[in-house]
Amino acid sequence: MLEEKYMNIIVVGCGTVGAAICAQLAEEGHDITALDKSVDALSEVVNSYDVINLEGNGADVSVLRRAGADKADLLLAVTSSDEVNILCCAAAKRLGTKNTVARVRNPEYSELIQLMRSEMNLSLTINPELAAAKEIYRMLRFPSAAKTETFCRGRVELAEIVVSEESELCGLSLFELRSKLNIKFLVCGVLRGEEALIPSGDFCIQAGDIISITLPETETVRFFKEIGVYKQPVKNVLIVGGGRTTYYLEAMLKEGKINSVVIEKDKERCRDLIEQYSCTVICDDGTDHDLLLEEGIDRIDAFLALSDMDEENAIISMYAKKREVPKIITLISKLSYVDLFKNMGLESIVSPKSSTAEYILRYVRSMESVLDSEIESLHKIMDGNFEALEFIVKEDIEGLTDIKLKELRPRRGVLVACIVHNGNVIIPTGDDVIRRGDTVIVITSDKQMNSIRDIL
Amino acid sequence: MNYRMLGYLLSVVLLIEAALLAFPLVTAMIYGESILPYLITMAILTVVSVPSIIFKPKNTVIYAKEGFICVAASWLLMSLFGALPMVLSGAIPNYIDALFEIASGFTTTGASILTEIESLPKGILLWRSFSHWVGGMGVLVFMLAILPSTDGRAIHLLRAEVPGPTKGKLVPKLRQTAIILYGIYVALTVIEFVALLISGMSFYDALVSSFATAGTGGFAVKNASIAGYNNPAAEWIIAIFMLLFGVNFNLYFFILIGKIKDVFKSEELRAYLAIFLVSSAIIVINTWSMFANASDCIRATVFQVTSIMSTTGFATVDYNLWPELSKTVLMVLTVIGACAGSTAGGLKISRVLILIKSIFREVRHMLRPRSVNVVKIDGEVLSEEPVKAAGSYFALYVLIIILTVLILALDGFGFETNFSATLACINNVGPGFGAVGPVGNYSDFSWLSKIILSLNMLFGRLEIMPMIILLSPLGWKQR
Repeated sequence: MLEEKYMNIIVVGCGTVGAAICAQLAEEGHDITALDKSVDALSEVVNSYDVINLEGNGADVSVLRRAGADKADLLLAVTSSDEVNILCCAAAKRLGTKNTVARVRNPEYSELIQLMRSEMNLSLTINPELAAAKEIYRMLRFPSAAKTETFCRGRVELAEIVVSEESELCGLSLFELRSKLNIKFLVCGVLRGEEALIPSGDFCIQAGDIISITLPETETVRFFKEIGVYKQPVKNVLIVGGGRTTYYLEAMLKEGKINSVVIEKDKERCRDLIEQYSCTVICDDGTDHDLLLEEGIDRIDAFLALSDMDEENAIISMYAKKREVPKIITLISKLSYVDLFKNMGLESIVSPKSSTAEYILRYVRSMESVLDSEIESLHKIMDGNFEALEFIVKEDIEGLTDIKLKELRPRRGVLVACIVHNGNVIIPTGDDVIRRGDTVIVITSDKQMNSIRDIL
Repeated sequence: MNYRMLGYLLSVVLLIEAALLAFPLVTAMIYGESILPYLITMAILTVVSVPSIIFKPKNTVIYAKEGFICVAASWLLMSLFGALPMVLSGAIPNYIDALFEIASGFTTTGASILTEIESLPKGILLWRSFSHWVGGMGVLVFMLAILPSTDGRAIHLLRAEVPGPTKGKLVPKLRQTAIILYGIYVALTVIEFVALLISGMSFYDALVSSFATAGTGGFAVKNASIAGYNNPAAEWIIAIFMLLFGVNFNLYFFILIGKIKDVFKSEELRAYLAIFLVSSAIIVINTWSMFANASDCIRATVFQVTSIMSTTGFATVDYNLWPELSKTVLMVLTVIGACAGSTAGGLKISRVLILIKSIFREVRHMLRPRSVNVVKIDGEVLSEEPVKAAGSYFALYVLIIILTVLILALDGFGFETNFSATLACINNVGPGFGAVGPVGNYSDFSWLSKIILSLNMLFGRLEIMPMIILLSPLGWKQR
C-alpha cells in the first residue's frame, strides 16, 4: 500500500448504518469518533470496534467541539432524524470539518437538496430509499440476474447469477463454458455457500453457486439467452408497500413505461402516491393471499415486497415464489436477515441500510484517492466478500501500463476483470495491456485498495 | 468461549514475562551471580507458550467475559511462574513464600515475607522490584501497545486491567491509547530515576526505587526500607513521585495535549490533594512531639502520607509507634487509596466520591420521595450503571475482608495485625500495623494465610471482578 492516509472521522448516529460504517472504517485504520445520544448504542459500538465514543447531541456545537470537529477530515451524519443530520453537517462545516455527509430520507426535502448543498455546505447527501429504488429499478431492467451493477457509464455490466439446479451451467467448467458460448465474458467471482473465491479456468460450476460475471453491456441479453436464464423484460409489477422507496420507484417506473399496482395499508400514503403518480393504488393489507390473487399475482412479471416490515416482506415473497412469479424483489432492513432469507431462496434482496453504508464507504475511499488514478466507482459484490473497483488510469505508471497482463504479477485475490480502451470493452486475456486513459475494473478481496498500483 | 484466542493471549503474556527476565539476568551477570535460575524459568515459559503462539487463531473475537478471564489468568500464571527464580536461586526456598513475594511484586503491594533483605542476590532483588514496574501499568496494556491492532474488542482487556469505576480510551485507536499510557509511565519513571541519581543514590538503588515508586509497589532493597538510605533529599523526591504516580494518567495526557483547564476540573484530583493536605496536617500536629525538629516531622509525615495514599508502602519511620489517631488516619487512607487510572490501589477516590454522593442522594430521596436526584461527577451526570457498580464493588470488598480476617484469625495473631494485614494486601499497600508493620514482615503467617493474602492482593489489583469470574464456575459455564 502507498502512504496510508488515515483520516479523522466523526460518525454521528450509531444505529445500524452508523455501526456498519464504524466497523468498516475502523478496520481500514481511520481514527473514528462515534457520537450518539444513547449510551447503549454507543457502548455497543465501542465494545465491538476500535473507535472512541462520545455521548451527546450531534447538532450541539459544544459536543462537536469536544469531538474535534475543527480538526476532522470527515463528518458522517446518519441519525434517524434528517433535520439533525443537516444541522450537524452545517455546524461541523462552520467549525472546520473538511467534508460532511448527511443522510436525508424525506422525499419532501429531495427538491431542496440542491439548495441545501450550496447554502449549508453539505458535501454530499445520501437518500437511502432513493438508492434502494434505483437498485430495484436496475434489477427490473435485467430480471435474469440476481443483482447487477454497471460500470464505465453503463458500458460494462457486472451481473450476479444464481445457478439453479435446472440450469445448463451446472457441471460445466469455466473453460468449457467459454468455448461453448461465443461471447466475451469473464467469471470474476463465485460464492459457494459462505466461501467466496476468484475461480480459475478449471473451476466447475455447481447448483447453488452464485457467480459474478463481467461482460459488455451490449452482450448481456445474448448471454442470458445463451445460458438459458433469459427472462422477458418486466412490463407489469405488483408492489406491496407504499413507503418512501415505492414513492421514488414509481417515478422511475413511469419513465420506463412499466405498469404497476401498489397495495398499501395506510390511507395517507395511498393518497400521497395517487396525488403524484398515475399508478393503481389499493388500500388494503398486502399479506392477504386472496387479495394478491385477486390483483393478479399469477399474471405479473415481477413482484416487489417493499413494506416496512422485513418479516412480512419475506413471507409474501415466499408466497410469490410459490405462485411462480418470474422475478421477486424483497426489501430487507435488518442486515442480519439478509443471509437467512437468501438461504430460503429469495434471490434478489435490496437492503437500503447496506446500500447507504456502501455508498458512504465509496465516498470515503474516493476521498483518499491518489493523484494518478482515481476510484470512479466501488461496489461490494459476493455478499460483501469482494469489492469491484473502477479506476481511471490517468498517467503512465511504471511496471503497470503498456505491459502484457500475463507479465504482470498481480497480488493474491486481485483480478483485472475488464479494460475499457477508447470506448471498447475488452474482456482481458493474458495478452492485453493497460494503457493510459483506460478505465480498468478490478475485483479484489482486499478491501483496502485505493489505487490502481495496489494490484501489484 | 474462545479458548484458542485465550490461549494465544496468555502465551503472549508468558513470552513477555520471559523477555522481561532478561533484566534480572543481566543484573546477575554484572554482579557475578548465577544466571541459571533465570535461564531455567525463561526456558520453561518459552516451552509452555510456544505451542499456542505458533498458530494465531482465525477467530480473534473476544467478549467481556474472555477479557476478564484473560487478565485474571495472566496475572495468576505470571505469579506462578515468576516465583520460580526465587526458589531456584535459593533466595526463597519455600515455593509458597516465593509465590507470596512475587504476587506482592506484580500486584504492586509490597508486603514481604523476607526477614532479611540485604543478603539476597542483586538479580533477585531487581526482579522483585522490577515486577512492581511491570504490574503497575499492567502487562496486558503493554501487550496492547506492542501487538499490531488485533480487534476492536480488545478494549475488554484494557478495561479489565486498568483500575477505576469508569474507563475509556484517550484516543480513538486502542493501541495508541496503550502506547500513550506507557509513554507517560516510562517518562515519569526516567525523570524520577535521574532525580534520585542526582540526590546521591547509587545506580542500582535509584533504579529499584524508581521501579517501586512508579508501580506504587513499595519493595525496598534495604531492611529499613527508604530510611536505610539516610538521604532526606531522596525521601522528598520519592514522596513527590509517589504523589504523582497516584494521579489519573488521563490528566497527564490532557496536560500533554494542552487542555490544562480540564485537569483542574477533575473532582477526583482536587479531593486527592485535599485529603493529602488534611491528613498530613492532622498527623503533623499529632506526632509533633515525637520528632527532633519541624523539618523531620513534616518530611516523615508527608512521606508516610503519600506512601500510604498512593498505596506504595515505603517507610522512613516505624509508624507503628505513632499515636492511635495518626495510625487510624493512615488506615483510612489505606482504604481510600488514590485516583483511578493510576498505578495505585485502594478503593480509588472516584469510587469513594461516587459512594458518598449516592449516600447523599439516598438521604435526599428519603426526605422527599418524589424528587429526582442524580449523582454528578465533574459537573456531569453519571448514569446508573457505574453508581450501582460502585455499591456492589464495595459490598464485595467488605465481604472479602471479613472472610480473610476470619481465616487469618486461625494463626493466633492479634486483631490489629490480622485486620491491617488484610487491608494492606487487598489495597495493595504492603505494610500494615502490629506484627506486619514497617519493621515487621509476613513470614510468620501460615501457608494458608499467605495464599489467602496473595489472592487478596490479586483481588485488589484487578478490582475483584476478573478474579471472581476466573474462580467461579458461573464464569466457565458454556451457557
